[in-house]
Amino acid sequence: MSLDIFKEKGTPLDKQLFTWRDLVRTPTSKLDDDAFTRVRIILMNGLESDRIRTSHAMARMMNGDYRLPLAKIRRVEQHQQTMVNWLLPPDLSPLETTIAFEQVAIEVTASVAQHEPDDYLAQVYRFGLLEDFDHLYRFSALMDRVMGADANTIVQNYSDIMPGRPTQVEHRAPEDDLRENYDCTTADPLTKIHAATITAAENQTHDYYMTIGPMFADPIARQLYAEIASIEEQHVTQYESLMDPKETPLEKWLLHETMEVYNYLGCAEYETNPRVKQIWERFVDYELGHLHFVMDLFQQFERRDPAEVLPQTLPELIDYQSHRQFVRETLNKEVDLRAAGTRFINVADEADQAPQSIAYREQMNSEGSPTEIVAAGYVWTPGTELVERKSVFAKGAGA
Amino acid sequence: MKSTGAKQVMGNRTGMQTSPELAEELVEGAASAPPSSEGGVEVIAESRVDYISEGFPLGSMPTMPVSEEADADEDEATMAVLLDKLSERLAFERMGVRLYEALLNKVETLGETSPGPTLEEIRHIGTEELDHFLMLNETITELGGDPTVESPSADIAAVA
Repeated sequence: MSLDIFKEKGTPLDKQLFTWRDLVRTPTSKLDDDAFTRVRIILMNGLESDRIRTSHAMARMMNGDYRLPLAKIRRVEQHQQTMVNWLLPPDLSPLETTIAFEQVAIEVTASVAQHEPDDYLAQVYRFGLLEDFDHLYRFSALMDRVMGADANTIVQNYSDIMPGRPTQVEHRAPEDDLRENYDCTTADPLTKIHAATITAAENQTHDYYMTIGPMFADPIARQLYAEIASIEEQHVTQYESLMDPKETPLEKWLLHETMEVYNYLGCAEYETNPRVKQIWERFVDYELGHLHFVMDLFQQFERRDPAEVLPQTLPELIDYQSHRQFVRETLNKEVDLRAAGTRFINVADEADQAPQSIAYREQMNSEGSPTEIVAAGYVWTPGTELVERKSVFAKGAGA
Repeated sequence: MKSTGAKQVMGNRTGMQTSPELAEELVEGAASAPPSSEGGVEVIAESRVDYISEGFPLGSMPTMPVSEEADADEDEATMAVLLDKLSERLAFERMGVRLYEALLNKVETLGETSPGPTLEEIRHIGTEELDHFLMLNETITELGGDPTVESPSADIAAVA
């Protein structure tokens, strides 16, 4: 993109003002808005919540001089997150929102995997992608079989609903969830932006499932959220380990703000709802304001030039479109991959090279796997599997 | 640890009589503090006006986007309303099948109790719900509609 992040100063922090009415706007339509509008809302909510989460961690662990600047930016981020997340409509149920979260994980990660310049990190994204892809299938089975509704009303034909790497084999020992990190001195700026984006999105997914899991009455639904939330925790572990620990906290903050500019810009570029597009454009300017605020801190506290770590212009944006063919190709080639330490291996080598993951998995699944239970024999069908008379009430069914 | 003063009661603890002494303090405290703003429940209604006036709809039927409703001829509009309501009923029957499946599961596990439906009654109603769903699915298709659509009325009925 031609946006020069050093030249464009955006909206100054003291001009970034809100009212409660401004924050709480008429939401989007579950039925009429494009699924990718919802994808963008969920993604940006995740990025803002990640900034608030990491900002608090910094405030608790760093020199007291950072606390006020962190608090100033955090206040605005809080209200940006509110304005974005409150665009979700009240008729979008927690399970429907879950389906949308998985669509974010599939389509955004697929775009990232294809644009990622580092081969190893691209492999990590493809590895995680096939797991979230499987979650969409499991939650769709739950929606069909417990709620009596069709998940495609949410994904709107853009994403396939079929098994990926089965969730029951995604359970790994912590030793096999960590990955090699990029080298901050040599990594492409897009690599850093990708890692920060996907880590943030997955962290929000984890937190969301941990919040809503207990809201379900059905015990199998409660178990399903427990199992998949555990994988989301593994995914956060995986993705955050991609980031170089040698980056200072302030450097990570600088990168996060850059990542937010990049993502709001991508959202604005693709947005089809004019009311939402206006918000993305406004927040591009707000994030540029944050970025320059943090650039100043970087120079002041670390005596370093932000140009050492930031690109002059932003790289190619995330594609908000269906990545069906890429996902299918990845599924065909890589569904049998497993992890051993930071490496990816074939399933046939897992017993030798990752016995700790097998032991952990056998323990967790020893009383059954909810993701297998909920999707036993499940094939997604337009309008739910009841169209195919798959019910105990169908004539001839054993009841 | 300091006692809460609550009576040791078994069962439901939601009422004032769970702990009369604490309840008395609670009432006394609430009555002693004046509200921070004047007026009553009508203030909420006044604040909603702005949102209501914006009037963004829940959603529309595929053949009848909200922006084209005003220009539609009567036949088109009537068909859109009919398909919307059929879609609502379709969703009701579909969800009903799943509810009766869960009920059957429960009664099979716990055994039949009285009062309450028998296993035979649950199977009978569940079978009818499935038949209704399939019939509506076919009817919507025959009328030129898309039975996989979640219509505005179906959506409202599912979250009401």
